Amino acid sequence: MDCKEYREIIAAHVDGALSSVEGVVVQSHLNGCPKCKQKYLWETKVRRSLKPKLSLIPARPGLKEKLLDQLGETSKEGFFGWSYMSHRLVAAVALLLIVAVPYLVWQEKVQDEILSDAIAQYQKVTRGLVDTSQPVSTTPARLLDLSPWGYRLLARQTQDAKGREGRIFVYEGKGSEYLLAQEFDGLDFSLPSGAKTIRTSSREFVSYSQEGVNLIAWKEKDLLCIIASALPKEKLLTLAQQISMGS
Amino acid sequence: MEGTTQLISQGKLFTFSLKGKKALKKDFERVAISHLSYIYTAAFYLTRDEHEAEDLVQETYLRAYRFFHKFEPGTNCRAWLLSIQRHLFINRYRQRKRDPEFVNWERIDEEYNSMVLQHEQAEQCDPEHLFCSQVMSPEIETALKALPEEFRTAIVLVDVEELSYEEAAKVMECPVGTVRSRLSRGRRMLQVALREYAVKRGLIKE
Repeated sequence: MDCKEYREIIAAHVDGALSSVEGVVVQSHLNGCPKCKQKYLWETKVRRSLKPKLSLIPARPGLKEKLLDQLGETSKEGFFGWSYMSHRLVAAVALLLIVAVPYLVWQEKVQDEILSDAIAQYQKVTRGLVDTSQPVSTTPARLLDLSPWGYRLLARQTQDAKGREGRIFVYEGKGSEYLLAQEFDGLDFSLPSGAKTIRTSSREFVSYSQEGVNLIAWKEKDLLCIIASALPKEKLLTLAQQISMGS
Repeated sequence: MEGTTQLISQGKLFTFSLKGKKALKKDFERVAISHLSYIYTAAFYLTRDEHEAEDLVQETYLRAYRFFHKFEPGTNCRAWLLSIQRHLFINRYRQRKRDPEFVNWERIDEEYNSMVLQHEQAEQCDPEHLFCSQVMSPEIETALKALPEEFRTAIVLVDVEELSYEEAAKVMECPVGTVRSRLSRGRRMLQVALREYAVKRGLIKE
């Protein structure tokens, strides 16, 4: 390195921000170069004098209170907040929200109140506002019990809206992938924009993707079934077919 | 519609309680809003305008609140907030197409070298000759605001916000070597500007 290059890192040496090896190299140069040493001593003095004067600039009074008020408003408006749920459940409820968005598009034939209630419920879960003081229902899945395919149940949510029951399950696969399964009683659906129909010998499936999440939906007797995951569409479809054949 | 959530672990069914809104907000206030002065100062030097600084601070905290679950407890919250702020600044406040600010490095280096030489000669008779003992915070604030953005940011992050070089590099999304270079040159420019101010005001002799 030449003197010009050493002078570029003198400031870092003054700050003690060089590695021990670099520090030794620089100090060795300073010991043998009066001009660079002069600059090092200068920078040390200036830093000592200027640093205390580089003070914080106070925000105007009331800004903190204004911020806290805005955070409160943010939560009320259903802003995507945060919670202390484990990272697994955070990922799981994020999937819940992603599925809720395309599901909203299917609402032509589905009663709006059920969809809006479901979305509101997903938002409540993602914001950590679920009331867990109520007695817990242990209603199992009617169809979407995925344990025979090696999935481990992480979370379960039940819904009851005007006599119609819905159940949401969050699973973890063998490869630690998450899978969301939903079943709704007595619901029909229409195709959202971008959805594709896949006809097999046994039934019709709907494939839909949004932001890296793939979803397969189908009607099984009176159940609307949905499985959603970041797994490839083909794998998800295979799983849906297996579930459907097993029903 | 009411819903309840069960977390199933090791075959046992149990309910878990999630912190309510108030507790979460309290935590955010304790962990993040405690850095408000630092975040406002950085916003002020980025935007160079009080009102824009306040807007930027609000946006920064709203974004941080939304993504607070991504913040790792125990890591430097101030650095995390400053990263968020810098992204917001670049996306919304900074002019999309900027002409690079021209700096006459030859003049800066000449004046800097002359300043260092004069100091060495004068030091023996007058220790107070050092210009920075004559300038106060408001003058430093004005001089710092006038620096080109990348040099200004480096000085603010390291000297005011007290980030390490590595943390500053992460915020500025550049290598540590670039932070070193910008800091070194930025401090030189700042010193030249302050000395010019001190001479103009007759605080020190030329």
